[in-house]
Amino acid sequence: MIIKLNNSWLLFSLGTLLFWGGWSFLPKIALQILSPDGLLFYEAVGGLLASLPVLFFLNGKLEKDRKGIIITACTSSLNIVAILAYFYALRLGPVATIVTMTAMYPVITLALARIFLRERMNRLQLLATTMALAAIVLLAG
Amino acid sequence: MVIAAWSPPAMLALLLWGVSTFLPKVAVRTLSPFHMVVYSSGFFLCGATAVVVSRGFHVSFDPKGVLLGISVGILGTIGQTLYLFAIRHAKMTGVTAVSALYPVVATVLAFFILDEGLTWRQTAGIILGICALVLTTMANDHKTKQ
Repeated sequence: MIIKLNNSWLLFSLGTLLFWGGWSFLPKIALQILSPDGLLFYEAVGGLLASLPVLFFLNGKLEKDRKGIIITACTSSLNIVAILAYFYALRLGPVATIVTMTAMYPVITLALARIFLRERMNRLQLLATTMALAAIVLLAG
Repeated sequence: MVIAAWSPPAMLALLLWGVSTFLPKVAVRTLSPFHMVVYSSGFFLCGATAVVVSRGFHVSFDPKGVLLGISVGILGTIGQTLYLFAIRHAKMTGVTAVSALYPVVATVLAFFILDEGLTWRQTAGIILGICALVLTTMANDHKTKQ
């Protein structure tokens, strides 16, 4: 059976998987040298450096849709609070349990997609998503 | 019932990561992914700087650490850009199922680079994760043919 990778969303998703894999792995090494605060700061600097070529590509002209900008600001703020809450939890409790618990975040994302975007899954998609969540729990343990 | 001290912050992280993975789907309707990435990086740097400064700016300037930290940010941003392009043209269910499997890559990298042994749970997780990826692809392929 040949599986065709002819859909751009799948290629983008696989690319995300690879880059986020590296992003989640590198802190294991970086935290041996840097404090969590330091890593958070340099991660933000790295993020800005990566977006500079994009800004150059856009000729420095950014879309100014207010709703989009506000949601993006909220997303960044939530990310920072989530990272800090995660570090705080790690300082207080068992790593394995906390990693497993927080790794279940796709459940929230999928629930929100179901409620607000009315996205439905067929049986095959439901099975794939269940297997993916089970894999995350196994890996986190 | 006694709630462990670590439980509220862990639950908060779970909830916030879930929401922050969902919200871009709404924003990407009005802002293109490239523009969102630039804004997001700016906001993240402002927020991170505010947090670090408010906690006394205890940041090491070790060159290796700086390089690693910046690399983390670059990888995360490229991943975020690809994620935004993916959710712009597809349902969140498929994109989330694939992209959330990034711990598979991290576990494999830790095995090869850090010589961390694989437990049976992790091995089962990797196999299950690969099966989930193949199944997601098949589900999409099936849908395309219909």
